[in-house]
Amino acid sequence: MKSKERMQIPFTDMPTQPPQVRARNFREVPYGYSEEMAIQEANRCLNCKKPKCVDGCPVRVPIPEFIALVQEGKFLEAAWKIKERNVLPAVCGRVCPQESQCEGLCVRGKKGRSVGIGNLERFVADYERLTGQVPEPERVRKNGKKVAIVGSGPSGLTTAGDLIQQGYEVTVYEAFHLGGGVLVYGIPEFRLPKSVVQYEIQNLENAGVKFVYDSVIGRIRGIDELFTEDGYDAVYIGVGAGLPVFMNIPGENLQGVYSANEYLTRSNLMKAYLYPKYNTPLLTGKNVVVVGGGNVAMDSARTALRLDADNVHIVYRRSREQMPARLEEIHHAEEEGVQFKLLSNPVEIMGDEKGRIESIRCQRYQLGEPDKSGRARPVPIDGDYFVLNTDLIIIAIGNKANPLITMTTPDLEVNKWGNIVTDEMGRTSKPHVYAGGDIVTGAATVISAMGAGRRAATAIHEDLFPQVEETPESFGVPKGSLELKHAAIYPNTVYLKLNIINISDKDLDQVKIRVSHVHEFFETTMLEKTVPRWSPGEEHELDCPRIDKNEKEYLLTINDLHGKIMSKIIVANDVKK
Amino acid sequence: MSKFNILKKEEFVPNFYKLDIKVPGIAKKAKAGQFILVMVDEHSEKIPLTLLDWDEEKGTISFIVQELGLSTSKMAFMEEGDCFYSIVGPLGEPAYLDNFGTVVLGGGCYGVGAVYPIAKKLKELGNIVITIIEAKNENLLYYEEEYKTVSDEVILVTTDGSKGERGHIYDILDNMIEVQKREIDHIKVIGCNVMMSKVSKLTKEKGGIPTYATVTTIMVDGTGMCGSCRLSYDGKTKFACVDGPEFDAHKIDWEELIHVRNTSYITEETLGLQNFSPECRSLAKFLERTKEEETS
Ligand SMILES: Cc1cc2nc3c(=O)[nH]c(=O)nc-3n(C[C@H](O)[C@H](O)[C@H](O)COP(=O)(O)OP(=O)(O)OC[C@H]3O[C@@H](n4cnc5c(N)ncnc54)[C@H](O)[C@@H]3O)c2cc1C
Ligand SMILES: Cc1cc2nc3c(=O)[nH]c(=O)nc-3n(C[C@H](O)[C@H](O)[C@H](O)COP(=O)(O)OP(=O)(O)OC[C@H]3O[C@@H](n4cnc5c(N)ncnc54)[C@H](O)[C@@H]3O)c2cc1C
Ligand code: SF4
Ligand code: FES
Repeated sequence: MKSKERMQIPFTDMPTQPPQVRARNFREVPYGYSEEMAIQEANRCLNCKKPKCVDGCPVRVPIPEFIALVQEGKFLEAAWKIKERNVLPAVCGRVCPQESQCEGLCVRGKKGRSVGIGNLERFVADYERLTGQVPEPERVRKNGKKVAIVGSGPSGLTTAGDLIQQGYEVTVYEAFHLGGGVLVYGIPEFRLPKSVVQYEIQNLENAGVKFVYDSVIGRIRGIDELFTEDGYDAVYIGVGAGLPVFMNIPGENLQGVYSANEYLTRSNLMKAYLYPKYNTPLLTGKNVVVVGGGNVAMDSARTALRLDADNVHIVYRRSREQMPARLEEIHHAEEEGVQFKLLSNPVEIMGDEKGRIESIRCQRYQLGEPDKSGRARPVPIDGDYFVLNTDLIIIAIGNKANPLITMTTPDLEVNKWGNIVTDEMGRTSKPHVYAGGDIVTGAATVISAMGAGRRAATAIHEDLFPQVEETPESFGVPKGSLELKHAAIYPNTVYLKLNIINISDKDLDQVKIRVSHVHEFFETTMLEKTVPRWSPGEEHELDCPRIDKNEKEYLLTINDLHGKIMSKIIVANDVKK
Repeated sequence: MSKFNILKKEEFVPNFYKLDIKVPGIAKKAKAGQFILVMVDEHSEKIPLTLLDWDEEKGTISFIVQELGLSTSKMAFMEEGDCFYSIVGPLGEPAYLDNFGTVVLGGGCYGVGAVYPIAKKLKELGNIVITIIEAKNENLLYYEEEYKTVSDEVILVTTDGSKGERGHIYDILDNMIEVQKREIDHIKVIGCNVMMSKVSKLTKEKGGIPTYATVTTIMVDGTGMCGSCRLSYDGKTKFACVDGPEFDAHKIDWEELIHVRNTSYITEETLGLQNFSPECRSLAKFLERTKEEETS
């Protein structure tokens, strides 16, 4: 198919339950693509030589490659392709903010709709799950080391998945009776079916990861005890940002005021939405006010609708464009009938003599000068107030770091907000203790928590099986215009990193670099990168992830504008160790 | 699932049960004043219960349940050999313990049992321990003998005067302070919030004898994640599950705690129990039947 033809294909919307219907049930909102729809949408992808989308993805999923497989109808292979980089595609396809990541950078988005990368990711992951054709987990030789993971959110699960594949004995400690972190206690069923999360955890269990529930680390065991008493060699902390922020306004402790965490935990984890079959009660309201503008606020508002509210208002301090929620969620919330009171902020909650809330008073705001983040700062308008009658208020203005672990581990360095301080690979101030996800970054996204989990897994492995970072003689680039400054190989994490610098005094145009495996008769490209203009002194780093475990030889090829081979060196050393 | 097995169940007095369960991890780490969160089955609420006793060697823990609402009624129907779905702990900060001098402990409702580990520890620390336990009538008083082993003095008090003194814990305290003019260095109370608030009011008025109360708030996760257990303390918001459950009683906003925060689910709780009753009966029948089958 020609690019021109691809450009003609219109975006394939994912069919959803009609808003009026779904606003009264807890079933998932979109139905998903059919095979035909998936192929049609995949055909819109231009398979760009320099795929912008990949740059937008925090874990660099090989997007055009997996979409090409969808085009051919190879859905399983497409799912496996994604899984090379992302272990929870069924989750990410549903909850990633694609509009500010991959889809935000897709070239097709410049004119019209970008390719529905999230929809396709979701489709192939569901296809794999629903057809049950999961490849047998690789049986890996145990390497004799034990790692404890604290917290079973997306970051902990990713670390666990990466480490089990490298032969570690991995145990996940979770405070709740179910695994998944925010994926089970925060994000509601209608957005992420719990069976999806359960399935991923089951896969990890099948691969050998041990889950120990009902265990609050810091209480039943300290971090130090995990080393001294249980004999772990490393500990990863992925406990999330579970400390609800309140507004500190009068009336906040009245009956009928929930933190979003409590509201959603009761509803999702404790299944209060199925009350009384499940025994945990949840106050319902006819006139519900949700404070905040993120995903948490949207989830709370839409849950309230499904629990029979007549009116649900979202009160948010900034403007609509500034809402941090995923675009799709705002859109869905609106379709379902959630009303927005933007540029407003609560100042007081009023109650009756029995301590039940009756109304909330808010102040109107307007946009002023940009603040540090570049967003126009909301400023209160003097004397401009309004009152909403309400019988249920849900506060969703953010989460801070839960101090339970850091309180009980005084030698763990934290910043002034209580977040654990780490280097970019997740190493904390305590030897062999790593951290990542929301506990480090503050409330962020599923995919960034997963990225952090993956980096920490790499760091744990590098630290427990230290490899001399080799710069093999034969892995050089001839003196001349380019020089190999640094080559690091991490055989066990199958990761290769090269730093190349332009040591000449002239600009180089269109330099193409390729890293490949050399087989007996052919070679496979692992990484290709073109540097359009390479100025003197400039350094480029090449990350070549997932080099083949069984390979002994690597080939580095550097071409210039005219296709002339400048260097072709075989690494014959035993880099595998 | 074979974990959280009930090894032993005793009904001390009507509606009060003591359960022994094997949970080695908790038995190893438990400290006086800490609690656990329990789910009876997959459908249950998580409810907080104070650790009464624990044996590190045997790996067992014990707690006392007062049958009140749905979850505690389900527990009342459990038998030795039955399993809990989930038990998390030990949670909360341990009680504030020291060699204070003369300490008065007051326990009502479930607190009649729950002050026991604290009494034991305070005695070990060299305090003179006076324990006051309160119940509606003599049939509801328990643990008297156990307290004798860990207290210098045990005072019983019943609302109807059927055993011990007549009245309430604060009447006894008032008498000790006003009439007997006894030196008291430290007071701890556990029980219903109303009783504790009255003791707090009394000791605040009588010169502010240091008084600590274990608040009972509604909880969900027990890790500081939800804010369900929040209370106003010294002008600030605190979470009972991580900052407490024991607090300086004089700084607690009792009014808010009793009348606002803890009555949130009255309707649902009543409904829950009504819904349970038939099930309750069938559960009992079921258990009877399985027993018969086993024996036959
Ligand atoms: C309602 C809601 C909606 C969201 N929607 C989106 C969305 O649409 N898209 C998106 O990308 N992001 C979304 N997010 C954010 C995203 O979920 C988080 O950024 C992500 O889950 C963080 O992952 P994590 O692994 O760091 O922590 P978490 O997912 O928070 O998991 C931490 C786990 O650790 C456990 N734990 C905590 N303390 C202890 C302890 N002491 N011992 C043992 N276990 C412990 C917790 O119980 C929990 O299971 C949403 C968040 C919420 C709350
Ligand atoms: C830190 C702490 C330690 C506790 N230790 C014990 C203990 O060792 N033994 C024991 O029997 N009970 C203890 N409780 C109280 C116990 O948690 C409640 O009795 C229980 O949650 C009631 O659950 P239910 O489903 O049976 O009743 P529900 O139907 O939920 O409630 C029945 C009645 O109990 C009240 N109630 C509900 N939850 C609580 C609560 N958390 N605190 C006080 N009253 C409540 C309701 O308002 C209602 O009147 C403790 C509570 C806390 C906070
Ligand atoms: S940028 Fe868009 S069109 Fe290009 S490869 Fe990525 S998804 Fe396809
Ligand atoms: S019970 Fe959730 S914060 Fe205390």
